[in-house]
Amino acid sequence: MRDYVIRRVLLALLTLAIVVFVSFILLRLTPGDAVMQKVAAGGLVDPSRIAQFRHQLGIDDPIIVQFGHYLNGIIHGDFGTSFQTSRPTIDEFGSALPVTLELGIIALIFSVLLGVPLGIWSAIRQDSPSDYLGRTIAVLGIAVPSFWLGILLIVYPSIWFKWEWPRGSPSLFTDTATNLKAFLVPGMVLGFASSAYVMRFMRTTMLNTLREDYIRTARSKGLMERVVIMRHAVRVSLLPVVTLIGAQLGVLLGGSVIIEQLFGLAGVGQQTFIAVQARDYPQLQTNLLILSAAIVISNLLTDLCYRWLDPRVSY
Amino acid sequence: MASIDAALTATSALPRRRSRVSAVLSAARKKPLGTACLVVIVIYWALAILAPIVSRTGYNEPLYGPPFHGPSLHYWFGTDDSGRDVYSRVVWAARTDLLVSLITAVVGGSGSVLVGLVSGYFGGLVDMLVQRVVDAIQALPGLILLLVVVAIFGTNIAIAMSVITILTIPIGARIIRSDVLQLRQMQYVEAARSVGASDWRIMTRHVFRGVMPTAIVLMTIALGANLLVEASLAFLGMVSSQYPDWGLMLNSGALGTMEQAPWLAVVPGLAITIIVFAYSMFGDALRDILDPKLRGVT
Repeated sequence: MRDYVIRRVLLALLTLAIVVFVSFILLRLTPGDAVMQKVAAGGLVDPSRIAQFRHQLGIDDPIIVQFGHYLNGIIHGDFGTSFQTSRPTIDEFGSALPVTLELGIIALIFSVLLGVPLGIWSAIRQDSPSDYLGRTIAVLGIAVPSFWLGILLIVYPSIWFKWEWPRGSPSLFTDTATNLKAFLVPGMVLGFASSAYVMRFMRTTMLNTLREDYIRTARSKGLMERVVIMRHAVRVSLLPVVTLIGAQLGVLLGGSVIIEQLFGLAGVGQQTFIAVQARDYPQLQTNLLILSAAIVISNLLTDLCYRWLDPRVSY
Repeated sequence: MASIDAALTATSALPRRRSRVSAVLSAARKKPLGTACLVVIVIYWALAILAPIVSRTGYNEPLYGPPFHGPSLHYWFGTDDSGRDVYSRVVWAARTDLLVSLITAVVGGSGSVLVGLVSGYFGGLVDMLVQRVVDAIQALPGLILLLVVVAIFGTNIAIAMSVITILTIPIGARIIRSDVLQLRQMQYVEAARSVGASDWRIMTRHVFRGVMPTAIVLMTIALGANLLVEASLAFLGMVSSQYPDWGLMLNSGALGTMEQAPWLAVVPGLAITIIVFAYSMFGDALRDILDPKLRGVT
């Protein structure tokens, strides 16, 4: 186990290093350079100011030196300064994070609450009409674009019931009711697609588990079917689903751009989208880096968790 | 070697052909839903190809009717803010969306096969390095990476397609790689090696054929997934194209317009949902027939 942990952590660090390099190199690929972009966007014209600004960004150094500076900065918590607000990009990211976090947590809870029971239901009634119905719902969950679902939920309630979604992002702690009104439905829309994956995965693992010898033993002992399913099959089948939750993080983060944009929630997704439009490269770089790192770490943790929960797994 | 191959092909050619037709027919009977989805896919492609005939107007023709005319017998799906016929635009848009997803899925799927083959067959350091790059690509949140790339290189559709293609590679490459690792242990591969077949020959003739079913299933599933990614990007207004595109028709900037003319929100989204549903269901059926072990992985 210890060797395994060490190996996995080293591999994750290596992946992380590649991710850092990618986020670094992307910024250098900008046509012209970041300063010229800012000049074009913001009307900065004085040549000495441009040179000074270039120096300030450190992009007049050789590329290897720049990468060194970049790495050094990251290690010391300095991710650069936002073009838009002139505040550290990491602070900007931090202020947007709670919104996306709440959205993501609602989405995860919803996807598990919907996906797990549907998956169990489908598996114990394999190839029956209810299994087909469950699987169709699951594929539909994948096929319906989340932005379309969101549009329908904004357009039709407003026409039929004059319903208005709260704008802005009210705090969960000071204004819980408005907060939930603003977050609950967008979170569910975000989680709908993930629930389809959870359901399909749950169904498959349940089906495999139900064919195991110990399930036959449990049945032959004369246990009630309900006990066999809930105590023996579901508990074991839930394990692999844990790994899926880790894998869904990237999907949820991508989806948050769309959902936050639609429902006007000021989270990391919307921040990234605005940064794209403003060509705020330092902010984009920071967001890409931190979100990718989050995915690497969550993949690592799920692998370790899985191994810890189910020692039979070997890699 | 070649003569044995030829002899085998010659003896098995006749009965195999007949059994293939009946195999397809029996597969269609066993998977009615998958077959129905294939029919839907064919209809979509037919509409896309025949767009100049089945549509009523060109793809960007303003003032075909009055602006914001609701759906009626004459304007099946209504008209938009500049009086364009929504029905015609949805049909034309099928060309963009189907073609983008087809190209990215096929090129990306081929990339998966290539990467998986090389990584799995050679193993060792090559495998180690390739897998780290694959890991890194998989760690990048797809849509956010796309947005960053668009911010740098502009909203050109070719650039978006390249990135979607690259993002398609990792999942498939992993699955193909583990397939190759198993195939490498197979006796017939060992036999080929023992009679002195080169790496290239073993890879192209034996291992490649072994992973083909998996590759086809992966590509089918990527069709739907990539269509959704492109539509999401277009919805965010990050794809510029003179051609209509279902995602673009639902652009987030037009939300106010949709509250005024709700039919504009319905049809393009439905068009996406139906085709992605059909691709996914067809992919599932194909997987059950060709490659049952992929169940639960994709």
